[in-house]
Amino acid sequence: MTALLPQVLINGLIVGAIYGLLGLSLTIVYGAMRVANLAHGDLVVAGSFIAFVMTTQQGQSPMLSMLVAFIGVAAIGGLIYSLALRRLQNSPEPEIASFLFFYGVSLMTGAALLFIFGADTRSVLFQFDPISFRFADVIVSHARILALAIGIAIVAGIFFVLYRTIYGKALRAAIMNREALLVVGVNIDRLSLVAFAVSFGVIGLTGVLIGLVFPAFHPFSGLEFTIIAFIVVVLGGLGHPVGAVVGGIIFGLCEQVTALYLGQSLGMIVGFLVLIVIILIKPDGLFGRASWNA
Amino acid sequence: MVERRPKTSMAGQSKAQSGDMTETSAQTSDPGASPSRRRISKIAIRVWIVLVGVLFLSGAVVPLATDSLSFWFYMFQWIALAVGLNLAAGMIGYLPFGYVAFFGSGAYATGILVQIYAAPLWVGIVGAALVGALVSLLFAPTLRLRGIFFSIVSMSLAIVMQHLVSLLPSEFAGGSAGITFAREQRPQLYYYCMVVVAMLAVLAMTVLVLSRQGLMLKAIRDDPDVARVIGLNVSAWRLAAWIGAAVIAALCGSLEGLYSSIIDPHASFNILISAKAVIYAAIGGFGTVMGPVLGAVGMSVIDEIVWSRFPIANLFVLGAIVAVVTLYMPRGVVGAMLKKSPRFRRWLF
Repeated sequence: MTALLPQVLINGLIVGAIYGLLGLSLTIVYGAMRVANLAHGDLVVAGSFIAFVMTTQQGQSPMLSMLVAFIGVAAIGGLIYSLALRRLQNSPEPEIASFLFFYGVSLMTGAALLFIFGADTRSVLFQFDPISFRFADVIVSHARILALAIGIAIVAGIFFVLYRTIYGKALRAAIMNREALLVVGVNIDRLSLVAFAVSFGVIGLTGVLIGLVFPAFHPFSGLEFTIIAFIVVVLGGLGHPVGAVVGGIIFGLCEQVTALYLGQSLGMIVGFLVLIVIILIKPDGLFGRASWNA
Repeated sequence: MVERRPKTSMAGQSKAQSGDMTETSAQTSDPGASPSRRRISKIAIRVWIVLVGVLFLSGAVVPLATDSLSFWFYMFQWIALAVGLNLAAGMIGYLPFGYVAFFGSGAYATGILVQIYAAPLWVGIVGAALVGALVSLLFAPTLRLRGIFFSIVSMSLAIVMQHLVSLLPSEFAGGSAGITFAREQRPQLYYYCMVVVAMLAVLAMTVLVLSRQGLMLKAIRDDPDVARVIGLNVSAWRLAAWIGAAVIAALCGSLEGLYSSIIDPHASFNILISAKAVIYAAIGGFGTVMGPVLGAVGMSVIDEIVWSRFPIANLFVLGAIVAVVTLYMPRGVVGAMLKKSPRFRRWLF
């Protein structure tokens, strides 16, 4: 068992990085728009299905499927934003309303995927060359290395935009205080639309990466990813980008290490228990809740 | 508010105008009215009681007319679940997305007691209620979380329960294959029990909302700090409502297990059960007595029609209804009517 530990730690890091990415898009949407995207996981799975169509059925490269998934899911995001967001934000309880609204979107996405692809589990088949790499005792598959590299690149890109550009500054300001941002004359509607669409695009990308890393998916595996994304985000503190990434890695490591010692189905339970303990000790998550005015 | 003014003045009644304000401020301007009875007309209450009576009486005669009880059983189950969920979500402001945890605990309590330990039926059902209360006490610390944090943790707890139950030794709880009830197969009896549970839930909710205690719960929901300052025991009231909601769900789970004669971790802890309870209650309107009942009845009928004609489209249609209703009627049907015209305040509650 102990000999397997380095291997498991590496896997935990890779899975954790993907969970972090999963949480990052959720936390940006939640922070900036105050909507809880319960359809997060289903859109991730939609991304995975795009990868399935592109690679397994069409024989294209994963890179191209990422581009398609990004554009496709970003378009869905733009559509949802223009149809629903203003109404959701103006409703008496935006959080609960968005929770319910996106649960509806989640059901619709799952049902649509079921209708198109059937209930079978699918996987992304793409032959990488070489199929895996070996570092000392640790074997890591090519797909996972690629997913980790792309995941890190996307996270780095998002952080660069968030913390080093004027748009990111505006978005972080929106997370902190929307009204003040209106006062200083930022076009918050356009800013939100772009942030929303890009976050949804990242959801699609994450779906492709998950298709590469996880063995299989089916139309209703979305809820699991939604829950993981929420856990990761709540662990780190809602609306806190760094927290999401750290939370993702913690959750990934916990899950993989417990799965090694106690078996697969306890892996998830321990992840949840870590969440519950952290929430009860620090109700605002590890990094604290990003502050905004209601 | 502004564009609604002309309507109010057309009604031309001072009562209708004061109804436009929030309930509490309206009361202070109307010291003669006892706080518990507000402006809900007594006729409306009687009409509601009669309607509920008709609903449950027709439920009681259904077995005489037809053998296919399934639709009716599940309709009453959804009524009870929506009302129970409303007790947590509408009355104290906690939206438990893992409400199914109590449903599943109830189902398993009855399964283990009746099938594995061969206990009498009533022990199984009472045991389910007790286990539901116990689980709700176990989960009570999560009540310190608010809003969406609470919902997420509640959902995670339901999934933890699902995994834990499937990990229990299979001679004790059936493992992942679940438990089949072979001892007691009396679907008609379970159907009547379900009707009674749903009826008691609806009546209890009606009495609660019309009473002083209901007003206290609403005060606690709307502003816990002020409620504490005026001397309400906020956490005790919250806990009481929370346990009540859990017991209703546990009874539903217990009876559903008995009725369908099979339980397993996947079906008994299916998140879709929480989601449907939330959706049905929300479509009717959280915080109202009538809303969840109307929502559950209406959605059960829609569900039945869509399901029998377009099985694949069923979830899609459910999702679309939820999305559209939350966008255009965020307070649910009853809530939207209450907001549209203050006159409805006398008739809808």
